[in-house]
Amino acid sequence: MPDEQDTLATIVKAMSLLNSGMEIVDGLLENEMRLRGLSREEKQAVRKSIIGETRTIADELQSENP
Amino acid sequence: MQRSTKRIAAALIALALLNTACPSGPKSESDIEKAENKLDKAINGVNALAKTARELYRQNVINLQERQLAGKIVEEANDALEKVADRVALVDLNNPESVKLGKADVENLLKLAIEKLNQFGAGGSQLQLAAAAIVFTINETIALVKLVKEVRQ
Repeated sequence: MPDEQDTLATIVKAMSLLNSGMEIVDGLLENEMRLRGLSREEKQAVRKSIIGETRTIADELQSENP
Repeated sequence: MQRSTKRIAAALIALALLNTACPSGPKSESDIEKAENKLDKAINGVNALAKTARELYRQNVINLQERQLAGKIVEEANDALEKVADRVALVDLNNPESVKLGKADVENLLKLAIEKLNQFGAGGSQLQLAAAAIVFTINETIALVKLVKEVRQ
């Protein structure tokens, strides 16, 4: 029984992580699409926007708050 | 359970790193366009790494200390990439000398940014373990895709 519970817990955890992974990959593709077919100036603005978002997440990652 | 979660974590990081490493775009693109495409891949890759680290913490795959380390690395890589983006913006596409100098500067700056990213493999954290499993995970995924194709046929 403990083995079955452990397997089930692993599957649930795997599904959850895979779901998160899919969302992250979706975000990657979305960012790629945002940059396609834009002028140089527009691309620069999008790059700044993505860099800004990453900075916000990096600050959040470094904080002491859980 | 630990091994499974580490391998899934490795897959997530691998996806982000592959996005950074994969060449893209038409072959007819100019040198500076190639450099800009590399920059875009790197910016997107670091953004995905940040989101991956956030998610791994939310799901208890990495601890607070590891999350903070990931945050520091992401911050440094992101700052380095911002410098690259600022340099790219200064290139005058109508001036061959500006393009030549810009390309060299951008490639050098990108190398520095990627060195920052390589720190993901340092520190003995779970992120390092995940990174070490990347090759295995990719091979396993390829084998799985082949198997699924065979079954469908």
